[in-house]
Amino acid sequence: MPVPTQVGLDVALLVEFDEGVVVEHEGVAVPEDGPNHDPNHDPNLDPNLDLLERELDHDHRYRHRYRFPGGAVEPGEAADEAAVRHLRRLGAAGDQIGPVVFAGCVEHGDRTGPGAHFLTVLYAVEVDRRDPARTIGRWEEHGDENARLMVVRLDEVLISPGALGDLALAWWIERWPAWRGLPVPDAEPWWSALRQSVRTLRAQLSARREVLRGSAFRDAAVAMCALVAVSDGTVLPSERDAMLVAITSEDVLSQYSPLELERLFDLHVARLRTDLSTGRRIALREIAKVRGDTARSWAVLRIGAVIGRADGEFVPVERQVVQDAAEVLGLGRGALAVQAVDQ
Amino acid sequence: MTEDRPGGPSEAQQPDRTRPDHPPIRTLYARVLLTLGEHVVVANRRGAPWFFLLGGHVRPGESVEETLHRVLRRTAGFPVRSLDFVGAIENIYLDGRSWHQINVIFAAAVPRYAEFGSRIDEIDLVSLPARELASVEFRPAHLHSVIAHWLTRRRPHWHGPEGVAAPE
Repeated sequence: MPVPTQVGLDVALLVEFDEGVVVEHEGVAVPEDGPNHDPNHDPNLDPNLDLLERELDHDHRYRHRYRFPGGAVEPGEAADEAAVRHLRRLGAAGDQIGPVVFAGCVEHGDRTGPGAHFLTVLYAVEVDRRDPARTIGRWEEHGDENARLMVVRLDEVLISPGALGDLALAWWIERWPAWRGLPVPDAEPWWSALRQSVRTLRAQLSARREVLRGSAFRDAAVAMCALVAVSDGTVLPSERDAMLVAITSEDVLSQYSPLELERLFDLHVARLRTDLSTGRRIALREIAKVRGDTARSWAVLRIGAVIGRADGEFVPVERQVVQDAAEVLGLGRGALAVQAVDQ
Repeated sequence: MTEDRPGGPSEAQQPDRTRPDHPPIRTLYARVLLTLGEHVVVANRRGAPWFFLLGGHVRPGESVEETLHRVLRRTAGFPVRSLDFVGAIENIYLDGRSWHQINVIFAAAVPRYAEFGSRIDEIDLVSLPARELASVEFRPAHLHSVIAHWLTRRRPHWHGPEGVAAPE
């Protein structure tokens, strides 16, 4: 007999305009001298509060909460049916111009607490982008009367729960459905070392092929490949040849002239062989050309990971150069699981 | 009773979801699609003609990845080299009463040299060529199209109980 799950299932809607996404805004003002104010309680030090709830302005104890529209999936209801139902409840269905697209899934909450462990399925939907303020107003008028809606940029607010906000931001950047799960406590080493497959990395790169254009991206990608190829300061002629084949056969790089790719690659290799430190500095400078462009930045890291694993192994020194590139790109250490290096 | 429940006998026993008097009970599973080169490794309960993905139900107090970690560790003899999020399959079926099964699925690559086997009594692991999936009976029934979709596109998808992915 199957065992009923204790994990709640709900859906969240990422309703997109050009200016941002729709969120439900809840704000509670707690006056400094109000009856509910505890002078000994500092919300910023309270581990039980969602990070968002600690955002306070200085005149009042004013807590902001931003959530995506959505809600529970009813018994017997499929997740995508629930998404459409909540879209109608929002009052947005009539303005929908694109399909409801699966954007990812996040597991959050307290796995040990009854009624506190959740699986949220995120769906993205594009709506009529004209006059978002008027559209939102109409939804508030005809939809759920309790919703206070606003359009925000995902990188300017904290969404509650935080894991869902991270997932939405990842979708916003990558347009690739992702999974965010609760970590495994006391994971065995083989589990901690697991990475995405090269095929998946390549699929992610190809999916963004149309935006991965331009000489800046080409230069950054080739520099990344050269850094990985000469990560230990040496590269045999056979390794160089194999690396060039790997580079020119990558789908996202096939749109550039193979001769130009080879010329740029060999320039970097020559510098790295002559003076590893200087060569790395120059290569990282090329990589920095795409800093601030998140799609291209992530693509450069993925190319590094794919090239690094082209010979079947992604050794620590190769992973380290990809991590160095992540820092130059402002994506932070450990930004890409495939290149995490055990300290 | 083994926890590895593949889900529902057949499409003929799919409940009428328009009936409000017996809402299905929800169950959550973590499953893994094992790939071995151009083959997929699936599970078979001895004596049964259908195949399913290796996995386990998410126990109280357990997360999806903990379940997956437990399932992979339970399978003998090989180190899993990679892990990708495939998506999910919803399955609604009758078994005494109606159940709504949610299967969160991941794909893991098995090294070519690996020897593998199930440590679970009554459950065998079988390697199938990817091109022959359509000729095999699966539970849930639309699992073969889900696997084929993944092997072709490598893009995560949430598949509803009707066997149709949320449209893109």
